[in-house]
Amino acid sequence: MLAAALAALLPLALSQAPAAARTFAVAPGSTVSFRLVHALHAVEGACGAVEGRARLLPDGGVQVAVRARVDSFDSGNGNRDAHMREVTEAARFPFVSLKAVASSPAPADGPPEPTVVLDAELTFHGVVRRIAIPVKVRFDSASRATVEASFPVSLEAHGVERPSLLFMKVEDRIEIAARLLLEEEGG
Amino acid sequence: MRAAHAADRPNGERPRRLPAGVTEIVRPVLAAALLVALPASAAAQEAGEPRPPPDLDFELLPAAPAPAIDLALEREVDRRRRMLGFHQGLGIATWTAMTATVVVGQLDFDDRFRGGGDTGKYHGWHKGLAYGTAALFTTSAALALLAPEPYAKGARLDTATVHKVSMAVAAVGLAAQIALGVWARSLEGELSERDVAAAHQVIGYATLGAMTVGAVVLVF
Repeated sequence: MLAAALAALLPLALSQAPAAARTFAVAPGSTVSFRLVHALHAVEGACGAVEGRARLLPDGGVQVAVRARVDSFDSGNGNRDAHMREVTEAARFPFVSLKAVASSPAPADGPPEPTVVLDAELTFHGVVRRIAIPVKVRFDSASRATVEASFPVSLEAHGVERPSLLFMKVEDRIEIAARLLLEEEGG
Repeated sequence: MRAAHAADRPNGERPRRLPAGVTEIVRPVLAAALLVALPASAAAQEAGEPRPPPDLDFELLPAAPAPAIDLALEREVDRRRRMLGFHQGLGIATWTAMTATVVVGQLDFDDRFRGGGDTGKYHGWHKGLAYGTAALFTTSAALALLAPEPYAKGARLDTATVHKVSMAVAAVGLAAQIALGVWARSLEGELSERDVAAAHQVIGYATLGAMTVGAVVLVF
């Protein structure tokens, strides 16, 4: 989710600094997915219900906010998804969210798919952790961009009890990948 | 240190000194390099220090609804986790016991119908293992079926569904096994005893197969 927000900020940063702030919204078709590893297999789950916005400020700075409902992730197995909701306490902490800024956006004449590092805070299971997320941005048009990012998250650092199968816990580190489509609001 | 360096050289030769003219040139260059390198090193050390927190005092999304603290739901989650933990342990024990039952059952069949001498030495073991397996299976199934479901799960075809269907097949097989086993024993000495025992044997392997599928599918 954070990656998505970061991705949204990147396109804004890459474009020329506008006279007024421009806001981009995460469009349908965007996905955030996770991959976790168990001794016997690896599991992937995705969420298509992502909401987020990125704002390009007149001074070239970028603000990003992205979030997704924890109970909207689907790994293709109902039991497993229910287990994930249990360990992440989806009722008490329904959202995983990310807020970020990019203080040094890439110039407009940079590489065609620049990478911007977002300074972000990820809130997951009610625990806020600061992370740096590299985000790759590709402009499809002046008002549309695709941003991609991936970054690791520690379950235990966020106070999440690692799920187990056959008494073997999954690895602490899960990989989050985001592919966000951004469209300028009012554009 | 000097002695050690000399000793490191295979032929024991001493290090050569640079000519005086070269030394006069190298010294100021080294001094200048140090002046440049020291601040750079300090900056690198600073890079490892915590960064100031980002200014995230902005809102781009509508406020999220306040999280609901549902203590009853959390108690159900806790109960479900404990019940399914026991379910997994008993499931492994059930599969192990069922495998032993099938192996000893085959030995019992061979002893009685395939020239083993009809000693009956395996029959007690087979019967005991069979009833033990049935008890383990029933307890494990009850834990899964009675566990609360605090988070709703939609019906779908996935590995969990295959697990449940496989275990339902195994449950039917287990019930048939008990009935056929008792029936075969009641036909002792009659010609049809072997046929019923053979059906009991085949269904035993099928039941073990269904349970194996139901267990293995969980790792996919």
